Amino acid sequence: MSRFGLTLMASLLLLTTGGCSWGRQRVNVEGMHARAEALRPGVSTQEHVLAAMGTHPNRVMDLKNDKEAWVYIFGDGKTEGFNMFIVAFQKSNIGLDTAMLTFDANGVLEDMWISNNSQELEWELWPFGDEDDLEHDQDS
Amino acid sequence: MTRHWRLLALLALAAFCLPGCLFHRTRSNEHVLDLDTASIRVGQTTWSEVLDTLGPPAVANQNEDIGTYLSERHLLYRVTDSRDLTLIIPPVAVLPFMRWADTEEYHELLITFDEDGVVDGVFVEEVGSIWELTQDEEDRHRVPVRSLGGTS
Repeated sequence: MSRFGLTLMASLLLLTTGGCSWGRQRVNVEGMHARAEALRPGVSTQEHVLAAMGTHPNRVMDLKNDKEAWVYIFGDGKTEGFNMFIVAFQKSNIGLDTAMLTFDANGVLEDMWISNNSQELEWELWPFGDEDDLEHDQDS
Repeated sequence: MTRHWRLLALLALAAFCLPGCLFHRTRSNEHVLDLDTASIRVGQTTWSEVLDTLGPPAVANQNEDIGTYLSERHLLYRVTDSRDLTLIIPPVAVLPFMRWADTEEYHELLITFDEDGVVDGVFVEEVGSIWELTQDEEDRHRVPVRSLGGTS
């Protein structure tokens, strides 16, 4: 093969080569589950909660009987892609979580709940399929 | 420039001008699909007990208001699915009319509470998304709200 032919083939190969990409997006403070382990319902005060969580809540809600709820929002996002020259496939999995802490009228922690949507979030590439997810849900 | 190199340059330019397609899908809070509502009883289960069982609901998008999802009168758990197809022509980059996106697919679990904080309704709603550019919103499959119990 001539030098020109080799150059042409190498150029085409380079142009059509696929590449993978990974992206990560964290939302707000990391490690909320671990931070919350230091809190004790019936003992921890709002000052303790602020110190343990390291930040103010995203939202404060008034509840009945002069109680209060502090809501923290945090999460994780993972995007994986396979990018070829003329077509690219990408999928993003996002898990957003809520940590909700309720306080009694004296500002003492009464209860807390933390969701787990951002835990064990998978890297996924293929954007198609799962068309029948909803049908599965209906059947179950 | 030799004839060969001119041809190569032409091919490279043609390749550069080739349109590209980007298929991108974003799914948020997929774990919600695994929530088990079997232990929730209308007229019996309390707000705290639902939170003990299912955990607190989370926003599907970080810019949303958590108040939409969480109050003493309701808890809303939602999965969203966004499908995005972008046509890219390098010399003109990405023009708005060459981008198509649909974000309608979701699965929602809504639990409502009476004034005493006891469950008075459990509802599931599912709406499908469309994928191809040629489809319109009428092709979206929409499952009527299913009530798993309650009157509200």
